[in-house]
Amino acid sequence: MTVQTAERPAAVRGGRARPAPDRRLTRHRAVMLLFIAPALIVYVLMVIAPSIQSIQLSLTDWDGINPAYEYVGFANYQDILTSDRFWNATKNTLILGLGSAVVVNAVALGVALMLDKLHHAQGFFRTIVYLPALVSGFIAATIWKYMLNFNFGAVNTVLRDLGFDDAAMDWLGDNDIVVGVLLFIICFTLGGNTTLIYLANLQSVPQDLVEAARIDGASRGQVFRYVTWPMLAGAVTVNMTLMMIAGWTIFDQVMVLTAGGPGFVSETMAFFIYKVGFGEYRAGYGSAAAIVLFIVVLATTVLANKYMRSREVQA
Amino acid sequence: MRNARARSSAGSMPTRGLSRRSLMQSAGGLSIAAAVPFALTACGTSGGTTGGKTAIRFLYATGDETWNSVAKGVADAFNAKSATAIVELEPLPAGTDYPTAMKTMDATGNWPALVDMRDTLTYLEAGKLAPIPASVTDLLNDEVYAPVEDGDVYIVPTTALNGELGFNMVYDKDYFAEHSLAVPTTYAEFIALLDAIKANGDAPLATAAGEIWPSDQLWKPLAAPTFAQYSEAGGFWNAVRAGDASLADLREPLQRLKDITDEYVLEGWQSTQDAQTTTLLVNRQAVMATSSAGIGRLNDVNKVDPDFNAGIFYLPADDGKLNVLKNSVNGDTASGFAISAQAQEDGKQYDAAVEFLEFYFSVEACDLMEETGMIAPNIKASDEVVRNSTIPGAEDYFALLANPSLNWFANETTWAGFSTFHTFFRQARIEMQDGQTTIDECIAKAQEEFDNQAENE
Amino acid sequence: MSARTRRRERRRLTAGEVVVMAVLSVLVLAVSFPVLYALLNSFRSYAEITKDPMGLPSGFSFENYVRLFQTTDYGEALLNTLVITGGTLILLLAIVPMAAWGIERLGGRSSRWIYLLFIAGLMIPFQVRMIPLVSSMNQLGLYSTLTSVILVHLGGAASFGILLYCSFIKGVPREVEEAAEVDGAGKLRTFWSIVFPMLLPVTSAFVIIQALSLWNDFFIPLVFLDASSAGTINVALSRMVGLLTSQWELIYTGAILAIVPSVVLFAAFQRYFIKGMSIGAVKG
Repeated sequence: MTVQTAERPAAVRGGRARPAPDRRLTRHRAVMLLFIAPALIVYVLMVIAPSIQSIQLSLTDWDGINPAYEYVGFANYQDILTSDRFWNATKNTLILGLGSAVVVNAVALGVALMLDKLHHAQGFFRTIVYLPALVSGFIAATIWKYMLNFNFGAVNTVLRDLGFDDAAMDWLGDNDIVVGVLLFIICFTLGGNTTLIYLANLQSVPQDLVEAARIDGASRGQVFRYVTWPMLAGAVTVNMTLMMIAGWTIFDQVMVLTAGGPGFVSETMAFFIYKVGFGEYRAGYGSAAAIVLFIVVLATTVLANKYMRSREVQA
Repeated sequence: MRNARARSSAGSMPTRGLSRRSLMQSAGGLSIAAAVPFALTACGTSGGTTGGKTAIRFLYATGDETWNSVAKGVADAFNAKSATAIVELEPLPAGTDYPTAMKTMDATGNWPALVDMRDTLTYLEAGKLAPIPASVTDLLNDEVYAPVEDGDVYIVPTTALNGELGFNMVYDKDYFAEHSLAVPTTYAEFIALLDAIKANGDAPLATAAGEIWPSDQLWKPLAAPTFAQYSEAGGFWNAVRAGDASLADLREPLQRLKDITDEYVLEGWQSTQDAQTTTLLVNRQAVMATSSAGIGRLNDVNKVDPDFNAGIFYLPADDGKLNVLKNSVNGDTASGFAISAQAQEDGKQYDAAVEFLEFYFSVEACDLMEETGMIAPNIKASDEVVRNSTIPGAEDYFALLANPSLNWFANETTWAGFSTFHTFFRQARIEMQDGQTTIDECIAKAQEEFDNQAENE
Repeated sequence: MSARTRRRERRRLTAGEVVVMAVLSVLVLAVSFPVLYALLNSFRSYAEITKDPMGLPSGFSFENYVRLFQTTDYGEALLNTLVITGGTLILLLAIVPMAAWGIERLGGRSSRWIYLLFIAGLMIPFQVRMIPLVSSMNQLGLYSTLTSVILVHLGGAASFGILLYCSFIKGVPREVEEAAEVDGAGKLRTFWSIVFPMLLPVTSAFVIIQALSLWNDFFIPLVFLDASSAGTINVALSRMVGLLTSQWELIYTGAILAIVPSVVLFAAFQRYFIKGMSIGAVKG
């Protein structure tokens, strides 16, 4: 979403360009600041201040309960960065974040393209395609957990009934595949909004352009590649960014489906922070992990945006 | 069920606030939770007299039907019998929580005569509780209550304190009969039993690690013989802290855990949830299942399949002993009846509360509780109590209580960092059982975490 | 081809369309299977579900729906969820559109910085502010109250709201509000009587998007509501996954009941919803 900021100066300039008597301007600005104040105060108190406090706590050995704590410098960070458990969680976070971003965007774009081709009952299909996204991630995961049970879950029962006994696996218990299964289920719940954003974009592609290209003898593939796809570039950037942020912070599904297990194998950073911060009474340590998560989110978002923006220009 | 639920969610994934005690509770108090989710009991100071009798309020948490019936049944019987006191039931509505209710009562100075305490230490130190006289404690088995530093007893159990006796193997009795199998009396016999079932082409044992805590169900009985050796010396974990023992001393039980998992446990245990082992059992997908709920699990099996002939046994040690962890009776995890200091000031209220407790621990009241479906407290006269054996397998549980091989041991862990380590250790064990790490790695990892936590204390 | 022309001319159903419909239907069926599964199981008893988890209901008994309200805190949790969703939405509408308008009309460098500050929130994961927030709420005596959940939600939703409203307000002409000011109307009145109604499209989209995400949220109420509260729907359901037995029949029933309002809301307002998605994100 940093993207958004690049476009900002236009409005600002617009504001400044308007000539007005100084006194009125000052009064106007004061009133506008008053308008901003309530939201800004809530936002600073609920988001900015605690985030900064997190940085402070990350330098302490606070247990989350006892009011007394000591500053331990970067010891928490040192512990975290030398902990296999944390790196495993980081790896999973990256897999789930990047993986869900790529998979969800690919599928959502495909579905949006299909929806766009529909001339009949588009509204109906648009609604039902979105339905899965209406179910909370928590509820979906709770149901999936039962369905994925090795011995009597629906998935394995169906596979065995069809004669694919070997394909029946302990989906949430096999440490080789569990992260992949998590990725699969996470994608289900995240896809709805992405599809709608793509659809809205597709429907705003000027039809003259498409028709002109067709008249020039371009194939469907060429039209997509040279007309539609460039028009979607902005949406791709936004969707990828949103998905990655959602993926980095994924929690509900991990907690419900595996609780980080078997063992520690499917822990993610978000889950790890919750677990050490609240379950294990290591608020200082958890805060340090949260700061590391923030750095990862910030770095990847900025980098990904830069990369995708450069692609947009070329396209 | 309400409190059991609230506590369970905290047990598997603790949220802040009550989590620390919940964590410990979920480890140590499963069998209590099975029998009676906490009840809040309270009696009024407003009291006064009703027809010459002293009236006291009996405030308790609703939600669990069994406990509701017990409270009502015992109070009714008491009121019919007593010439001097009358108990008024005052249920705490569902949704009201214990600490808030207590704080409110404390703030308004309206302490009930009788309280089912959970934050015993807090209120004891605040001087809100009155000592419980010997006329009450004499009715109870010695090991279910204990005096604090000043020599007085302040808390007595509302239900049976059977420690971790509920960490049972639940089994299919019909299958055992059909294949002429017997309940093992030594560890070697247990392995032979597993082999025999496996030889029949059946899965011997279902266990669950879909949540983290049920992994204790197989582990704790396996480790109990080692833990029991340190019972006199203050418990195994305190010995590890003092440097007199180490995680490496658990190598044998860990090896056994790994061997049983590899050889005999039904596939899919990693993602199976505790409650789902009932499904596996009644559908004959496994002949035995691990459990930590004692009669609670039998009740559940019975509810799902009334025709299922379930039995339970406790995993024996090599020497045939049944080493069972006993409850903490005064520590942070203790819960039970307490009499308020305010009632003591009143005098009459105190007498009425004592009279009620004396009745509560009588054979007559215990019979009533058993009839209702709750396991009665451990009273000295427990032989005279008529046990409720209508649930298939319940008789096995009561037989366990009287088993001569039973060896109660203590393993108190009073430092807060332990729960953090304990969760880690569970996960590290699952990881090892799952084959992701070796036993050596598991021990090294757990020892490192233990040292870290101990250091942070 | 375009959405606009397409609606005017009634075309025949082409083979391609049928294929697309079929593919979409299969996809949707696969994805909705868990919901269907929950729906079927909400009509079955605990014993039936436990004994044969994959079986079909033997009849359509609404016993679970009755029991859910009689024996659990679900009713209270439902009410809590409503209060949290409704309360947060009302407060968001009271402060966010006004702030976005203020930012857009403030002008100057400070406007840009304030905007940036708000947008930065989109990149701060909830986990980063979670631990300090819990301890502050505890100190304020707000821990485990609905107020704490609403406040935390407000902060989290403000960034997205500012983003959405600012990009919309940029397209709103100033002339109308300036005319109102000339007429002597105060800024506040101008905003609520002239500007706010013009923001209706973005408001409806914002309300629907937020309503869904507030309704479905699990993590924030999980962290901020302990056992002393009945929790929200999701928290209440998570507590039914129990230590001894999980009340699956009630969990499935509760899940179905939680989904119904979202589906109704979406079906009724999907037009605004889609518009909102395009306003919010497309302009990037």
